[in-house]
Amino acid sequence: MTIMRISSARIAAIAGCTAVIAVFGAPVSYADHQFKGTGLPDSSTQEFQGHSLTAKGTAAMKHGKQQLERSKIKTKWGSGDIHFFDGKYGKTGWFGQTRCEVRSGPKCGSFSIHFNQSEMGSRSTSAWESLGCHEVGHTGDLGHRKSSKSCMIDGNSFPRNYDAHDLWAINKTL
Amino acid sequence: MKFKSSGQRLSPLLVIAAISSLAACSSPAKTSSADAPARADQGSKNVAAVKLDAKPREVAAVKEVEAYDDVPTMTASSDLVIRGRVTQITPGRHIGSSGMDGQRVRDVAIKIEQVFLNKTGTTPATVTLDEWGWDDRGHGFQIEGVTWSNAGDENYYFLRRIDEGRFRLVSTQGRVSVKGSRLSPTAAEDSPVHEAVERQSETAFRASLRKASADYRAGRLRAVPVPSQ
Repeated sequence: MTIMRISSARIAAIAGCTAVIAVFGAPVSYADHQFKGTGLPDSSTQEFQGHSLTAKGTAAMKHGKQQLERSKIKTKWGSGDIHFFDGKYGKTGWFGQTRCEVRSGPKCGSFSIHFNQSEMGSRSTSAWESLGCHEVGHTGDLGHRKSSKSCMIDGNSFPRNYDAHDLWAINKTL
Repeated sequence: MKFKSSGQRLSPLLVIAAISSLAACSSPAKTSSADAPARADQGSKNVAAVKLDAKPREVAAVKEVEAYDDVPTMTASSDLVIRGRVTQITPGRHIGSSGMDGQRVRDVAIKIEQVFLNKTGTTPATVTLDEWGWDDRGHGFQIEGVTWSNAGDENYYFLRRIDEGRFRLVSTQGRVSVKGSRLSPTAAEDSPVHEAVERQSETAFRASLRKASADYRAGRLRAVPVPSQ
């Protein structure tokens, strides 16, 4: 029967694709993270702490925390893992910087995140929230993206959230 | 992968560094607060006394103000495009408050050998480039693919002026090192800029800079303005 043969072929094709994905990981479209982040998180729960942040810096930190909560990484307030600062660091050429402070092999036990008020200037709270999302993404070992739908895009563009690819990539680190 | 982190190649050192870092930067008691005072375990006044790493041990990731898809546009958008030789690296200014917030710039002195484009209105013989950097513990880090400079290095630079005589790279794509007959860009390995530079000889690259500069001056190539606030 023709119908049965087509169905069988489709089933075989689906099974084949499933097997390929299972063996080789995510589809090709999920492999476009340009760069690596700053290190793997050392725990599936990350503690966030702000240090004398401005209102916009606080909004950026809180939004980054909310976005990370969308992944398998859990977050809470505390002094253990991710430390936030904002200041007038001058015309450095970067809006934000993420760095591992305490490393243990490929994993990072403590990150610092710096938001540069000098470069962010009077940009909106939404832009600051995008920056928070971006820098926190680096603590989940995310690199930069070209997609304008992801906060991990580089340059003067400020999408607010992670897209599905970002969340997949963070979850892969665990 | 973009980064060839020197940290990855120094794993025994990093283990020691991690232990010493934990001791030096022991966290304050855990709080439930979302905001805590800036740590003051090593104030900026003590920076001069801190032993500074001779090599970077970490690679910092940044969200950059400027990013380019091709070399001609990066050329046209720069304030100064040069070929130069590094003559000296010295500890530079301190930014941030103290403790984990503090960072220190590396001042890279560059003797200009050739100018391809100059919008600064002056003709300096040398420039000082901001390069990152050290934290307040003296731990070295580089930003993205911009490895630390050494005296004697010969590079092409795409520069943005910060103030008189002081520059930064227009972006982390803005340095191309001359390594024998090869060109080695700081741009990410999978970026169009990296691919375009790496496949050229130095002669061809130099010619492309001259052409981009001429095209800009003739109005055939437009600069991308630095994003405003």
